[in-house]
Amino acid sequence: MLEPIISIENLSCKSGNRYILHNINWQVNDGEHWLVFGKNGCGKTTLLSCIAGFKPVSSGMVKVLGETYTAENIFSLRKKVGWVSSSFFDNYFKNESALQIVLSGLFGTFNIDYDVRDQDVRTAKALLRELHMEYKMKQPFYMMSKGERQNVLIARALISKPKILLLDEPGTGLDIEAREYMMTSVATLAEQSKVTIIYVTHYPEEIQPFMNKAMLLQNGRIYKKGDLEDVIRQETLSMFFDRQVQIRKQENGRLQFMLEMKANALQLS
Amino acid sequence: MSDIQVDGRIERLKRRTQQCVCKYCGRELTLRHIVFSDINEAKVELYCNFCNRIEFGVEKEIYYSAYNFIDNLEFDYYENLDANEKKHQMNVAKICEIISWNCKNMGLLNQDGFTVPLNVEENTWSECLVLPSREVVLQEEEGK
Repeated sequence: MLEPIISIENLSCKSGNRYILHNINWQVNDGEHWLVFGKNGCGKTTLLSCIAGFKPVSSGMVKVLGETYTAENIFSLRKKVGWVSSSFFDNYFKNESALQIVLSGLFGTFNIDYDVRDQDVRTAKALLRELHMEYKMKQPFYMMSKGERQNVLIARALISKPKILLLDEPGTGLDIEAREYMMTSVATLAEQSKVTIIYVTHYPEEIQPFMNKAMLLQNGRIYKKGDLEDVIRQETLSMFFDRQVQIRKQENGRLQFMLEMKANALQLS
Repeated sequence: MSDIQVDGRIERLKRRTQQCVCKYCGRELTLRHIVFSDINEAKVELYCNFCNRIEFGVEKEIYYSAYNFIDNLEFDYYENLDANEKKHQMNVAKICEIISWNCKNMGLLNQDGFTVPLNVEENTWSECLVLPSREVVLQEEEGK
């Protein structure tokens, strides 16, 4: 039996007295690509930051590629996990250039190190060019649009040729062309490489055929997890959202969720 | 790409705060807690408080040389940008990168600084140097 790619046991994370994550048990095995779905503030980014080695856990255990994060392996293990999360990195990167941020992915840190090789710089530039960022390489992170920042983080995640790719709402802020390009690239990666993908999104149209597992996260707890077709069902989602949900398949095969909704904000004003 | 050496990382970064400055503004770098972590080595990065930037820095001699080059030769790598302090800093940083790259490849520079004694001509440095306060004290003591 192969060791799971990610193994999480009784994981809890607290902020003050509040549990952001509570008693999470989850295994990601080789060949699985997960969709993580949940409302704003349900703990998705915290869960991914624990897996990426950027947040300590309050209790429980997180094993990535068979190892827990220690002082000895933290940087080498982080490099094996490509992490795209503007909700996380927007807090840390401000005046740093796109090129510096991409290169930092080679070290598992926020900064470059002495040991940057010419080949690394060429690779970083090629990645940025591929993501249509050739004219923004020296631009500070804060001066970029949300979509451009997302592309920088995608390049940062890919530069170390990770074994696991954590994508935290990667389509948010991208224009329609950039989002399609990103989704196609991720699908190609899933199909042509051995990388394991964890894809967090709010948008059902980003659910792609390569995703074979799904988890619904609610208030820091796992609501349901399993095979994608068992989780992304009308009955389950209706209970999850506490309102009637209809799932429609569009002509291009993408899903669309229709939520029964009444808004009374105008009457309140 | 070799893995970053975890052992002694903080000591290495501390040494770098002594020998290097921000390649944009030339001011001293500090060690700053960037992220909350239970592993000390993973918490800190080199930081320029003046630029609010995570910054690896360059040797002071390289910075002053680059600064002087930009000022004396009116070199402009970023012709499309408006002329302002930011652009000047970006130009200095660009030259710093080129000089560092060359020194590294010539075997004149490694992680611990220059591998050969420097014989810098005094007039190649700008007359106005930005010195961290502890260096001012040191220079005063040396002058006594």
